Amino acid sequence: MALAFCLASGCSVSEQAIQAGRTGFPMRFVLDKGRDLKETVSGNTFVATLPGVHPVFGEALTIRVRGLQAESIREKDPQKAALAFDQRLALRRAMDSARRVELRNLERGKGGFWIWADLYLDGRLIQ
Amino acid sequence: MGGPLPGRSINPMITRLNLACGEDCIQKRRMKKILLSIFPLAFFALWSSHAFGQAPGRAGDSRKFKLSPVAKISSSEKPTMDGRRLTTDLLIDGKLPKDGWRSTWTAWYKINPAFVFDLGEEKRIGIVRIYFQPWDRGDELAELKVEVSRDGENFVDFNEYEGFVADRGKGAWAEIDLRAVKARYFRLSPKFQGWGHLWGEVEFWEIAN
Repeated sequence: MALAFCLASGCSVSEQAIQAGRTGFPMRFVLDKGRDLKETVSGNTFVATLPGVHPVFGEALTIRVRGLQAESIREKDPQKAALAFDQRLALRRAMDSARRVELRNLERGKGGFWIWADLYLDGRLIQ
Repeated sequence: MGGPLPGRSINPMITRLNLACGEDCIQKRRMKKILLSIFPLAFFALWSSHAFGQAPGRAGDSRKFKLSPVAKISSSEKPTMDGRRLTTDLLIDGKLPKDGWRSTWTAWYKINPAFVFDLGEEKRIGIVRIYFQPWDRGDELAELKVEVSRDGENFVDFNEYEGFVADRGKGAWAEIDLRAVKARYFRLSPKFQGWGHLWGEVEFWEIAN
């Protein structure tokens, strides 16, 4: 019966079965631009899905880029608001034109469900 | 009103058979009947637990794996502590060492080796598993760098992994989810903190579907 069961299932092993050990956590996340990058919130913040992370934690996660200063889109001062839109556009274009978008050194942010990360575009640290 | 109750009708054939057979015989028949009715149920239960039980940890992930044999292994550093007997070949022999000192653990004391695994041909690898034993501290296997190559010479950085914590003096599997990497050569470069490295086995799981 076991043999029949094994043959019927192709004698392969389910992911659950082999994931009984200690899973290592990746230190870098390479984002699929089409699938993982969602929206750009400001000149230093965007929303993305982290591949390989449970959707409860990794889907549509707000990511703030470490080392980038940016004005808020909600700024009331028209000059600062214009600057904020320019910065947002610049970040969006930079990510769109890069072949490889990578996040490293992820760290939990304070006071909300967001994270700090180093952004690497085509292997270059953006800051 | 006076007719037989439903389900209570007597089958004359069964009665005749029962009369020809003793009490033991009837019991055996009953057992056989029960077993025959249980068998398809048990098979269905097993099948369904396999089919639906592989609902993976991550939603939408329905990968199936099969163990991929390693054709050749090489190490940048020779094993220490009885390294002539306990060589790197033991990492791909399919046998797990026993917990504790010393069994057949291949050891690298205070050094970080880099291993190159040749799978013989290009394969789509989903998961790599390492059977290791932390000795001085639970998080002795501090970091693991994974590089991949198609020709064995030009290696591309794939990723680095951390968070391998296990009980000291006990063998444990460390798993790395590579998603789906197509390559023939895999270079694993572990970094220790504490004693060094005690490794027992390395497995490469190919994506079967």
